[in-house]
Amino acid sequence: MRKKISFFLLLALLLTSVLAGCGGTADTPAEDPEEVVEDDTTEEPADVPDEEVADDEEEDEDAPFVSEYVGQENTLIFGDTTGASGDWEQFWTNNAMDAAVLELTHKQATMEWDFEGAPHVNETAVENLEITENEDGSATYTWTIKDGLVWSDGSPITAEDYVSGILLKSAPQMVKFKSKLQSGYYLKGFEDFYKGNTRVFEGVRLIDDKTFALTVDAQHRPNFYEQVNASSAPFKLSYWLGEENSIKDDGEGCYFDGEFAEMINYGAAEEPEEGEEGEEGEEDLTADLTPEQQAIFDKYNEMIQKARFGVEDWPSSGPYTIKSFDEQTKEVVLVINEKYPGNFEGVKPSIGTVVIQEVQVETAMDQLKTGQITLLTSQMSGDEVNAGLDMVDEGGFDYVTYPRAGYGLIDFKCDVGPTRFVEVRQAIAKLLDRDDFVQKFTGGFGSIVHGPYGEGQWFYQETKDELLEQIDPYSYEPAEAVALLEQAGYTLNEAGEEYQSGDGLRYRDTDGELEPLIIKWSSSGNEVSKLLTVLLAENPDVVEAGIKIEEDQMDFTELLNYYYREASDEKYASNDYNMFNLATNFNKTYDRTDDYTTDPEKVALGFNGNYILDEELDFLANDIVKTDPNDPDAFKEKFVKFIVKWNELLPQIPLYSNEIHDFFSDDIVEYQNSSMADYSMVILYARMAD
Amino acid sequence: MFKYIVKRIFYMIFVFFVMSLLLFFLYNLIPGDRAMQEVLPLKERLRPEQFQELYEQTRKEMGLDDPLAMRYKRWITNVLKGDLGESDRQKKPVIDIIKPPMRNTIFINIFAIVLALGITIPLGIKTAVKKDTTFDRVVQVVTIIGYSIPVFITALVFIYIFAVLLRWFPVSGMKTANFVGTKWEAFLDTLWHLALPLAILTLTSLAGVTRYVRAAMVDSLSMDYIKTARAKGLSEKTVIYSHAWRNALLPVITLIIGWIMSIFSGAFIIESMFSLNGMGRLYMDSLNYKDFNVVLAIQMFYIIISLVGNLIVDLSYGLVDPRVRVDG
Repeated sequence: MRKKISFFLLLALLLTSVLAGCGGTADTPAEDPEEVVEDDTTEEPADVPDEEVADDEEEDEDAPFVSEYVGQENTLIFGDTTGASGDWEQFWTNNAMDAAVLELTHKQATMEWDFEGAPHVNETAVENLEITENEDGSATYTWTIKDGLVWSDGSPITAEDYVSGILLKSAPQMVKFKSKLQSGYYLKGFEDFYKGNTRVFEGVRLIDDKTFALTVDAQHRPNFYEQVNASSAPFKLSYWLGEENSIKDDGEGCYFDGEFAEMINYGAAEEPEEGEEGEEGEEDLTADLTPEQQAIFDKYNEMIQKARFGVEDWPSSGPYTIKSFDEQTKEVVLVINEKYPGNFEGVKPSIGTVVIQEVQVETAMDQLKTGQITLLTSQMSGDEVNAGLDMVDEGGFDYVTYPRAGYGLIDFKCDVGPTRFVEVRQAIAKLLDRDDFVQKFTGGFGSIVHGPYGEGQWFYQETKDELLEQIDPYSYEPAEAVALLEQAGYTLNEAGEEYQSGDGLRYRDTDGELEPLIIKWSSSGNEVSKLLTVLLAENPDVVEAGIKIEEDQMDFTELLNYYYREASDEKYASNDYNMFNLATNFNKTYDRTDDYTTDPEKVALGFNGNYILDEELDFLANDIVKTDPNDPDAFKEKFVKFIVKWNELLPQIPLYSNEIHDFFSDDIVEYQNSSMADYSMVILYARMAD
Repeated sequence: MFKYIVKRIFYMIFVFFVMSLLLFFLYNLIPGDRAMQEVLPLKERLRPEQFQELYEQTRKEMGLDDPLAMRYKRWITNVLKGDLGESDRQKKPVIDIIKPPMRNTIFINIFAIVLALGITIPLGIKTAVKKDTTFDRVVQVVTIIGYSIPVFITALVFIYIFAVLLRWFPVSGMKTANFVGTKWEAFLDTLWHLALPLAILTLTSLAGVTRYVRAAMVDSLSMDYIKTARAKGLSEKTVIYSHAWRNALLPVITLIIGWIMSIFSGAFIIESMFSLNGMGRLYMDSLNYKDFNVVLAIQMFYIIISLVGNLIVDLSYGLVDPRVRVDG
């Protein structure tokens, strides 16, 4: 018996030891690439502040261990609730912190953005820009870059690097690698190059080591953002495809020179005929490759998959280089790229080390308070902002605030049920006290917008007074709402007689049938939905007005299927939901093209999510960006016209736009941010106090 | 014995396939469009026709238009070949995604289990020996309180007291930002960060095992052979540890094996509160994102662990207790 128990305990101990061995703790020798990263943190890299290295070297192993959060010299520790994944370039994925790392390491573009979201020629990298109007209506932007631009590894940045990114991201080969990234859409010849019809990309020209040209296709002109559409940033092709591939130009456009190009039979692409795609199974994007091409595919697939998770060897043209990425903790450490020449204003980074750490919403403010992180951005909820402001009052911390470039909203389907009538949409707006909603939802840290724009966008700021004079703010007016419902024909009660106060639900006579005023609402049951239930669906004035709002709660992806009327399932395709509560954010380029398209094909594809078929709105939405880039006044004028019309038709009710707060240790000075700025801008301009 | 093991392995294979079928169909019946979910963030960056093309391409890549049975066949065939598929969210092989959180979970659980067993077994024995004394009652109350309070409340209270007020431990995370030091220091730094989550994990697990050990010991101490041992004049220490505890160990041993097998399971709330990249969080995040290849891989792994664990428990009965015969 004793032996058996001893044997069993020994077995348990052994099992535990084996499992402990699998644990990959810091004192386990590195066995795979993931652990190499950890090892690196224990070495004395050259870019770690000298004092720290010296301390580590001299430290007696028997001395008591003290771990310090605070006091890391010239280091900014940035906490965010999204953990980085290490897939920086985003050919395949879409992670906010990976994007932040890319922004910090991917700069020297020919055009850069300022804090207000306005584009500028980057004169730090660009020596000359020549714009040529072509006979076919296209325009060629010929860029000459400055001498002396270099990558973080010291190799020169040439004109070839500026065209490489466009070619690789729009290459048909990358579709076979299942890439989701595209570039060069506005350039001449994009379609043919992307589909593999032609080997050369006609609109991309490599003239010499310092000069390249990008031609914007006539069909995309004029466009207010044309200069941005014709700009480019350096991309190190050799890092992704090896030295044996390069970009060449024989006078007709750029093309891949090397083995990578042989993966595709250019010009052989055929559109499948109707019914031809009947074969079942996951689509094998490499099925058309010959054995030789398959071998090339396999070789480059391996190279690309390795390159996408690069760390120390990640080529940087931005203010920082990646020092380490810890897959276990999702921590990214970046250090200054001394070879970065500065942004469009010549600003260079001064913060030596930037650490990006994953934090949790519940404890992030405590981490800031205790010095575990030194910067916490994008705080929007009332509770978090108030906690942050209390901390600032206590001392040692500071904050900046800026309006969100986006808003939460009620989205109407304007082709089904009662919401097909503009008066019904307007009536609902007048039955919702948006001031109360904003106050309750944002805790006082938000505002109301009256259309699809953000408070911080330059064209709104510059037209604010004029715009607000022309629009209806849809204040809380139950009596006016009732009048609007009657205008829409909802004048009957359940018996088909004239509606009297207290009759309950309103009806209208639609082709001899009584149509009830029931709004079907698809909701994900989030905090906005809960508040809308109280302030709208269960509002006594709404009931009194004769409206019934029926909420169906569902998973958000399910909700999106209903919203986009996903054609793969009849229940989505022909659903009759009238109302959704969603949110939206704006890009730097304010382009509303096709948002309200009346083209039946595009509508069927899910564009114009409101299904509002109004020719004038469609024209005004498309017209905004069809503006001479040198005529911002025309842009603003078109913007105002669009918003006024939008406000009249009301395909959405904007509910709230947050006031975003960034909190940080007062060791950080000269900190600024806006909803148009990317992380590289924010960190580039910030300084650490002496 | 050999025949029994072979029979059980066949049974395990059968259960594995049934469970794989059930889980695969269940997860794929959950409403939602994974392709739309994947491409939607790109909508603002793409033109309508680009977006539509991308959406259709993504549906094809994911094989979403195929019948469910065909998708199951494809998935299980790949699983049997050792290919767990690719994560929809991270576009990496599932096996690569599971490795880092699995390492963290094992690392944390080893300490949690050692701590919990190191405390609960002596405590259980002590309370049994001192049954119905003040000490016994206090332990019963304290352990049941630790067991009853929701773990997120315990976590928040611990964070507030020990991290925010006293600043003895960090609020969350697994290492100091940009940590530079020797491997030993890195190990200590990790332990320092794990102190609070480990304390909470230990506290919340005290009640169960302590009470189990106590009950086994109380039973054991009431046996006739204990009276005989005492009558023989053996020391109380010998009576308790050589006679009573060894017999009480029989039921406890199965519990210990269960714990050892649970070394792979994550604790979602603790991992979330303390920002630990473990299996619990990975599982929940993957579920929320409908990253079913990851979810299914984790589920199938746990099913295998449970089946193997049950087999080991059954075999251990035979090893530990000569009265139990494990036979086919």
